[in-house]
Amino acid sequence: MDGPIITTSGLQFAYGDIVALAGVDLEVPPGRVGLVGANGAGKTTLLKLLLGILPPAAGSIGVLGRPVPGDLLGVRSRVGFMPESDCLPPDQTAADFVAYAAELAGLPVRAARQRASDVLTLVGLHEERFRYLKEFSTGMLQRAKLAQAIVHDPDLVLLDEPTAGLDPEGREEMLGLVIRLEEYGIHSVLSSHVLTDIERTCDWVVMLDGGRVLRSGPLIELSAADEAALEVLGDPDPVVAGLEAAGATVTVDGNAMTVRHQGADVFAVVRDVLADTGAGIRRLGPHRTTLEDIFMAGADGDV
Amino acid sequence: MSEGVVFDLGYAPHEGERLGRPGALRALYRDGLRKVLGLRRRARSKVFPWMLLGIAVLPALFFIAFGILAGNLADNLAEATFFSHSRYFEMTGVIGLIFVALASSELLVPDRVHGVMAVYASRPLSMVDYLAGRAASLGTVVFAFMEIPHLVLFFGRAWVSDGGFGSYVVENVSVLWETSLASLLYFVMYAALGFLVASFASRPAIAAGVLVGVVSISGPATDALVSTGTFRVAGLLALQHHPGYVKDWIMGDDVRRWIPEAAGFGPTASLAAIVVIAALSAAVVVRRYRSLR
Amino acid sequence: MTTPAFAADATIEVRAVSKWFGQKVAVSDVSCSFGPGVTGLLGPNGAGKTTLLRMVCGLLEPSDGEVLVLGENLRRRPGGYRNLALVPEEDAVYGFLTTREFVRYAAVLSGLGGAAEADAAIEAVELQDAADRPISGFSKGMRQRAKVAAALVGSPGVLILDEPLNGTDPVQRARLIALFRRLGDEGHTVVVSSHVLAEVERTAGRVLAIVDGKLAAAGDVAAIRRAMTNIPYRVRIEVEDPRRLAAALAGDEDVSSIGVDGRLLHVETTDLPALGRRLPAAARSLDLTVRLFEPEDESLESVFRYLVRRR
Repeated sequence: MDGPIITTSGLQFAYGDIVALAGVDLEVPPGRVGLVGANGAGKTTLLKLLLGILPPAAGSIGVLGRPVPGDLLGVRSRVGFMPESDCLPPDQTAADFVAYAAELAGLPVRAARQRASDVLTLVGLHEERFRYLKEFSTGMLQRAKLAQAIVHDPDLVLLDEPTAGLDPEGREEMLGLVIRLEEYGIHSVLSSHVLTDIERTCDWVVMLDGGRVLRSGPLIELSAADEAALEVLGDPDPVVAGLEAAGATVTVDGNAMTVRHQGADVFAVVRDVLADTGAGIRRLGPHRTTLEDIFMAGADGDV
Repeated sequence: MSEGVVFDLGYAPHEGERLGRPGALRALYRDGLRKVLGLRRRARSKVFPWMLLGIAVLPALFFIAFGILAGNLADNLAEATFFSHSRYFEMTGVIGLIFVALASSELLVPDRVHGVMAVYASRPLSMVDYLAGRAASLGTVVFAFMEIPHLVLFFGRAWVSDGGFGSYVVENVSVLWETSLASLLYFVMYAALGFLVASFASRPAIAAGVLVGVVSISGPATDALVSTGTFRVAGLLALQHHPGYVKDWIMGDDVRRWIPEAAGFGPTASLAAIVVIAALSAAVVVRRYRSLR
Repeated sequence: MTTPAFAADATIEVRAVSKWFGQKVAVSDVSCSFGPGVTGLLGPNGAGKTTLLRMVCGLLEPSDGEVLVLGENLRRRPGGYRNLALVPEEDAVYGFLTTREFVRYAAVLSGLGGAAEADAAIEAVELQDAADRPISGFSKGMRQRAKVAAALVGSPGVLILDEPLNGTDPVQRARLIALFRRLGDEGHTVVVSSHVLAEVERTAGRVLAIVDGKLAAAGDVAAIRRAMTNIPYRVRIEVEDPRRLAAALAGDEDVSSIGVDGRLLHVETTDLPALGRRLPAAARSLDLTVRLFEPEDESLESVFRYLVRRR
């Protein structure tokens, strides 16, 4: 898929008097996209607009190169949705419902059953798939929800808080699955409050604030190649002194420090100072602005 | 040299056909049928529908058995029927109402309560598609449940008829389309109300109870009002009587005193009432579902 | 004698506690304690963590053993509960009340404070602008903060938080974490149970991990990792010419495995600090610049993974 997976232009939506989206312009390339924002910033509204569940008050939307709601049925055949809330009927088995979900997306009956079986294995539901959904634990339900979202081999899947309620092992598996989806040609939009999840999984981030786009860009832009983040073993003071003597600017934050150098390769300077002082590296790498830093700097919390 | 192979069981994209909206609608329809008939669900959900069908068909079977056993008396008996098709509606109508009450809530309420609407929202189906598909599933089964007893009675009569199977059928074939039309009208009336209640209720049992309750009370209540002579218009609110009144008109019979009739309205008024109530209910239901997003 | 499972100045003591439901043993002979500061409580779903938490709060009676809060078994003297506040995972608020009313109500129930303390608690969670709006209109994150405010009123000695950040957005999360840390620094006993390990790591100095009903590990994260001596540390190192560095490191007895991946070296060693100390000089002598030295399995997430998988 070339070309952006999502484009919006001047998108607006309001619930009565409350403005949810106040003019959103986006051009999102294929890949794994993180969607972050404070509560009430417009994330869920945006997802609903992309699926054509809500009609835009103004502006245009394109998903996978097709207009929404112009080619709504075409879009929905190629897009999957994993909602945050419960969406599975307790009185059906997982295998049954996922096959039905595939049929509902337009797959012929036999293909639907086959794909449901393959996808359930993919998400890690084995014998459990023949049990009724009411007996499923949270982790199993999340997997089943993901299964119904990808069973029809969509090109794009929208995931709303996919790790909610999962224990650490479950979270890791879920995020691993999302990463693997890319290998299968399925792009994803991951809406989440847990920024570390987004940092681990996504290569592009859209930040919404107060119904507008605060930032939309690749995640790697957030690293500055000429700044080093360093943590040393033991007492950092001699190291700081040595770095400053070598002409570097050092900002200290507890045990960690950020090092900049105008003239030379900062990592070479760090190496030399460490070798000279005999201090050990605990951690060294390019200084990464975390999503949280950006958030705290630019966003208002909700009231 | 021996060889070995490892198969790549990784993800295989779907290369086959995609049926789009028509495929989705068919799947929705089939799912509706299964829900209503309790197929592919726990045994418990099959009990009620099939029991109701059994009850509905029982009188017809009983009548035929009686007719067969009576043998030579068949000729008189075929005429001296203890109930006509028209009168059979007294029973099938009630069965139909109960069934619609239970089935329409079974079709609409769980999907809402359990959030399954989110799954439909991301499928190539519009809201109206969903509601129409559910109505179609309901209609198929209700119509079948109401019409099968008539078919049993009809062909049973034909079988024990003195003049022979073939001639009976040919002579009385009009009965078949008359009962079909009447059953359809019963369905439209009850399903419209059933969907109306089911789109607001949060529990299937409550929805069913409300529907049966309201429809049942509408009879005596409007009767009382009409009898006073001043509130004749109330005759149009005798919900259960409209399909019956029109049915009698179609079949050329007069099974009982119909309240709209007593209020001075003709059968066309009842027919109009059915259509109007159905249209209004549909509009309200669509509006309700649109506001759920 | 203190060991990592037991805190100095313990306020909550868990003594050989077990809990079974019929045949199922949910918690099996757990002994530990909680003290001032923030302690994280972790465990897979269904492993007994929630059951233990409920016993600590007094919501469940242990089948065996006992829980002492400030030296007393509170199930025998419920009055002591006023010094223990719980922020449960479930939505436990009355929607028709405003924040202020709800928090004041909690204050009255606990007997720990009045209107002034309620307002202070509301300010601590930054809900003062929404203090007079009914909670039913709140987002999940705001409801969560209201619950925390209700628990904070009157400054109880012990604060137990079950998934307190559920539904809160990134800004609120960061602020609540800062709040919990501050409370810990001020001497409150704060117990946080959460599945988002990266955040537990930032909030808690000490963690307890419950796996299959038993206490699997206790202490601060780095120390727990060090205690896993049979699992070598994994670290990623980036230099211009990884193979030359690999050759140099291969002679090191602590190093058990070296993998080359583009510009990266994946090194496994039993003594990570020693490697960190040797590396700068070694790199300089080879005329290589280290651009990345990133331990891969020191985090709480990795530690937890090892704890869960070894069963």
